[in-house]
Amino acid sequence: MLKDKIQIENLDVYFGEKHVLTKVNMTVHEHEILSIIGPANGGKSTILRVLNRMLDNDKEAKVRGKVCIDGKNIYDERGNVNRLRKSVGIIFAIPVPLPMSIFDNLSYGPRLHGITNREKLLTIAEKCLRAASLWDEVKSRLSMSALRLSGGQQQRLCLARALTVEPEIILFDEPCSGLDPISTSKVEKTMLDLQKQYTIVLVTNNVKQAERVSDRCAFFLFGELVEIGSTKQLFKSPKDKRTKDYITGKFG
Amino acid sequence: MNPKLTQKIASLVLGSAVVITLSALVFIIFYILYHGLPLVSLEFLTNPIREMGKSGGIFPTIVSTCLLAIISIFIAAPLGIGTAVFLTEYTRENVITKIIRFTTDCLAGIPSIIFGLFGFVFFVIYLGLGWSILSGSLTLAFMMLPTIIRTSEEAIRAVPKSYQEVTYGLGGSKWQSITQIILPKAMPGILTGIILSVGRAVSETAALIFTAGISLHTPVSIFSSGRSMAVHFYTIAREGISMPMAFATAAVLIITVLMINIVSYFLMNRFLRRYA
Repeated sequence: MLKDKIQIENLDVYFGEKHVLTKVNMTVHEHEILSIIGPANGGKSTILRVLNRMLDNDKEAKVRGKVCIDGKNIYDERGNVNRLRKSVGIIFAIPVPLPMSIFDNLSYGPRLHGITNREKLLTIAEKCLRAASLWDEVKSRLSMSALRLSGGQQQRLCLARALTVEPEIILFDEPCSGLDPISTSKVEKTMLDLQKQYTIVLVTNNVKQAERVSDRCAFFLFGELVEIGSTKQLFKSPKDKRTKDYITGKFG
Repeated sequence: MNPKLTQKIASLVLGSAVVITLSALVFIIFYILYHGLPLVSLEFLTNPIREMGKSGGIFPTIVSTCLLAIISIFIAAPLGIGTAVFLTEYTRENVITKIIRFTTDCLAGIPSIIFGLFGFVFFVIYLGLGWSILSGSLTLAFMMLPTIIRTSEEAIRAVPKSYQEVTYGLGGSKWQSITQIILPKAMPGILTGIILSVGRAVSETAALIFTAGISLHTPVSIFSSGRSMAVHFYTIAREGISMPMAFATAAVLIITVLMINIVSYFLMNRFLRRYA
């Protein structure tokens, strides 16, 4: 039996008057890739922002319900947001390399948590670049500005940067939406490699990508979880007609 | 009208605007340098003021000017940057931030003589600081604040929000995101504001006559009175003590302001390259 890493119970999210997620109940198993698909404005990205409490900064947003990671409710009053975010990394749709060198990008996270020893930072940088399959491409030019990398490289750099603070869960928010097919396949391959060590939640607009990489898949429509199940089964014989229409491209 | 003709007239009008502006500027600078520079010498820069300014040098006024500029910056910069950070990062847009912003804009438009009067009543008399470098610096600091606040605010707002999200995403705190990424990225813009204010402080007259005084001696502490270069220039020109000496002082003043701008321009370029 797979261990549950994330449990979401009766989750409701509002932005002001707008109800963006309604009564969501789902679990994410440890070391799986769970993909979340669905048309735009379905609350896909919102659910990622619930998981690392990024919505805290949005004064309009209200979160109701229980979200547990390793059995502990992260919305518990005593929960430490910074510690939570350290263990839940996030990769955005548009890669955001910080305007500094590749190495500085990678030491940024550890420095935030008090690691300043250069040797140690170099070890971390190399380890994470290897994990993000970027090491061979950049090892000779770590002091180059990260802004000069290509789009795909930047995205993998952001992934490596997220790994530097040793998260347990990685959230991908449409990580390949701006990338060409080759870069996309590199990022996908990296995700599959990372699965052994991390739990991955992938929000994607690309149904094929969900089918290619994820173990399980969840379909969201207008803030509701329509269906969740093993990717194979969901794509072969979806239970809900709406899911079927979406994955076969009839709408959305 | 024929579009070609319109175009011609437009470029003629705009071009002459540029020529008039530039020539006025160049004329003023050259006029002053032409009349002033011949008198500027090492002795002029290092000697005390003699005969109320008719002879001797301007050493005391250089010291006063530097002290006033440096102290006022050290007071105004932290206050101004702090306010800007607070306005941009710690509050949501609401009535209070609007009021703060409106007030700073009003402050920026107040004539310096009013600041001088305020400084005189509040620092010199009420707080009992007397005519002193400290009173002058405090008054200057208040004058600089609006510029520093507004330029810092703009600079901070120009830093992409996504950098902040990266910091949060890695488990960093708000304070860390401000000190590690926002302020370093906004620094060139913030420095521009500070440099503009230094220029204003160095050339300020009205506010300083009331607060720093017009003592002819070199200030020995922040509690001594001292006249800045601009005040010295104003005094000896106004009272007809010596026009040549006034021009020489003005020349030094102009060169100082130019130097501040040039040096900071180079510093800023280096800064930019480091963070780009």
